[in-house]
Amino acid sequence: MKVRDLPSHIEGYGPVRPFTGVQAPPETVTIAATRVCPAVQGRDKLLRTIDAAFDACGICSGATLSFHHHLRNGDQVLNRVLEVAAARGLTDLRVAASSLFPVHGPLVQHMRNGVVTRLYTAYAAGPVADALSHGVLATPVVMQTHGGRARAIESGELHIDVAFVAAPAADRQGNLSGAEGPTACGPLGYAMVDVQHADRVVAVTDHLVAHPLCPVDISQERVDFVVTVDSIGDPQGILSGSTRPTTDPVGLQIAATAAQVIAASGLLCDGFSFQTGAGGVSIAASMYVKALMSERKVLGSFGAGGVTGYLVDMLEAGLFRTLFDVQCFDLRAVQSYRNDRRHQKMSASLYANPHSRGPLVDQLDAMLLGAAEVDLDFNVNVTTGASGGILGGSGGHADTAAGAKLALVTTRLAASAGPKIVDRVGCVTTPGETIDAVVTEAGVAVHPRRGDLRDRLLAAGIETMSIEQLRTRAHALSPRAGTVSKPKAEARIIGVVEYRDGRVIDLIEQVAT
Amino acid sequence: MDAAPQLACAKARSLLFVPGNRPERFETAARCGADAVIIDLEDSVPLSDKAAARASLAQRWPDLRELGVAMLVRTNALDNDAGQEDLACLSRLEGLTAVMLPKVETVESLAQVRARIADTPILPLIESAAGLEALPRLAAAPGVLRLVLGHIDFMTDTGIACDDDESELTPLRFAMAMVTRRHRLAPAIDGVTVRIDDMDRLRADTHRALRFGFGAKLCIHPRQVAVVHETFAPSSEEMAWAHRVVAADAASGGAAVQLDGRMIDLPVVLRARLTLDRAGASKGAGQ
Repeated sequence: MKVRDLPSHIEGYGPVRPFTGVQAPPETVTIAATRVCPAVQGRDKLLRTIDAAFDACGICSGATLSFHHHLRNGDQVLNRVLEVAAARGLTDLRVAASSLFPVHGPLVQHMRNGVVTRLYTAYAAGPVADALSHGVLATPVVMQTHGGRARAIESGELHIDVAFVAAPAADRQGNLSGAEGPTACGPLGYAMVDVQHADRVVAVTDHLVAHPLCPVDISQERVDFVVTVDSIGDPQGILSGSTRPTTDPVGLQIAATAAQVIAASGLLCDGFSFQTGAGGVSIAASMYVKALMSERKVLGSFGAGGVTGYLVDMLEAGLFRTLFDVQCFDLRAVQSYRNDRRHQKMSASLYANPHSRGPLVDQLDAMLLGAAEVDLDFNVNVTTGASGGILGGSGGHADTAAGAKLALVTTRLAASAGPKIVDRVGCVTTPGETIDAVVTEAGVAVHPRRGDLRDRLLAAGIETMSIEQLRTRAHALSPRAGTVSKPKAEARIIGVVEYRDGRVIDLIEQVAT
Repeated sequence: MDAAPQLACAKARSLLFVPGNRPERFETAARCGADAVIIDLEDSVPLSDKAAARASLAQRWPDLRELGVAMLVRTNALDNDAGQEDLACLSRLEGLTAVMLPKVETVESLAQVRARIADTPILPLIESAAGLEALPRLAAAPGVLRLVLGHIDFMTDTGIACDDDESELTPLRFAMAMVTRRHRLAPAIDGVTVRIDDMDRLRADTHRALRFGFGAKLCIHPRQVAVVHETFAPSSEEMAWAHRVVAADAASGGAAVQLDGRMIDLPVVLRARLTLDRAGASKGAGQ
């Protein structure tokens, strides 16, 4: 499947490998060699300032610095590090952040001033996303997937000079934990990849404990320096985000239908594995799935993902044998990670890297996904909004859709901005060939390649309709123009959307100012 | 169905009060078929009994949780000591489905609840002119699950005297329905019918709640529960209509069609689907 016409080369990005449809991974791949500066016995890793870490690592203009987003909208580490970079007069830095939140607004100024000129991320929201959409950078932002980011780092395609790891707890030898301290956030799954492949690793902590810290999430042989600061983040912001079930009748109707679809799919039997996004409808659907599992006495194998308290409830109810957790979305998940051995950490590579020896997404039975838009080819956009500007990004969306046996998109037919089932999505985040069905309040559309699933749904009394019929309904409900008119040929490219294997699946053009 | 308590509370049609100082009735209330039980620490408990009510609630809580019914507690208003002591008590209860907070007029009072019991949904009672004025802010506040009408206190506060049909309160019910929709809350909960022997009155009150888009009613006697459920359930005519609409829609492939001389377009289809969904809830099997 060709999603759109792509140039063979994009200025500031390089040669383009176009996405032409999902394909099997290469037979072999090579993991890049990593440069290591061995520890000198007796030399202290502890540094008193971030500034000292810049000296210790020899960070120069043009360097690539990486950050993780486990502290979500409470993170202060990215801002503090870049503040130091700006004060030192560094320019042309490349930032590889696993995600960017509204709290990272100060990055906009650094991009305007040339401190940061290149950006890689899997998700951006808030002032940074707005500024990128309006063309603040001369080079396009590279929008990756969580698994694609891990793959790019491991392969050396995205080489990190220095990884800054916000560490909720650390000892002075560089053993790190996400489960302890005032900003405990759970496992550090995204950072785990960075620390294995970066030339230098700097842990930044506000909670220094005696060596050896126990238990360890990231161990000392991966960490060059430990910097202590007064605070790495605001716990309130860490637990931000929509991690509550929807409770309005339409949202619940969609959630209940999604659970019915899972039940009818034949996958809801012993060994069932499951993941949801943290959106309200997905969480409500997971509650219905929980009820169905209890009712049918299903012993699932694992729940995965960004983990919420709702998934923890399912573990504690004995519905799963284990949880695989790349990051926690709420305090209950953090507590469970700390206290329950069945609640395991996983790195972003284990989670979703398509070129690893076994990404866990490949063992997922059912995945519940959200959508900003879905189109007639079942392509899903979670990257841009109605105006064409960036409002998010794949995160693990495209990864889990590709891996799961049943990738279900749940969405309302329309939002205030217009219909959500459209002829053509404004930006393809996740290719339609990896989506199995779309669940709305008006009915369920099954991807034509899944005739088997449609038959199962019909047998279970769940009526299905074509995606075209859903589109017609969405437009009837919200007559506003729902398709973003593709910008003219001369529109400037401000973003490159990479599929998980690194091929370019879509481009993002600058929005009109 | 055995959905998580929070969803059960969002979809509950009947919420039965039981006085907090009558612990011997807690279990009976939980077994009488109501979708949710509200243990009341406010109006039904005299001041002298409030401490004892809290103590018996705390003591019986582990057993109450096992009964498989959504369990809520109505606290006293937070502008007095009793309300604050209630919150302290609730902060120690595990698995509380939701808190019903009386006489809510400010988002600050909701924030106080969240500061003490962070993850428990809140059902604010709208019982005053100030509460009506604050509705849009209250509905937008974090943690609010659904709004509750306390019409008797509202009448006391405002001096409005109603006849049986309470037509004087139409603007209030309408305002609650609108902010509920605007902020995508679970459907609002209508106030009590005090005449516990008058089932026709209860039926009429419940019908009115349904017409305003409310999804539940407060009950003060177990015998009210069945009537409320029966009235909220779609009638056989409505069900037949909804099935025919959905079938006609499926047959038409999404184009507007006529049924019984009436135009069936998408909003009608969506209403029919919600009717079928409501019927699912009424059967006690949301799946």
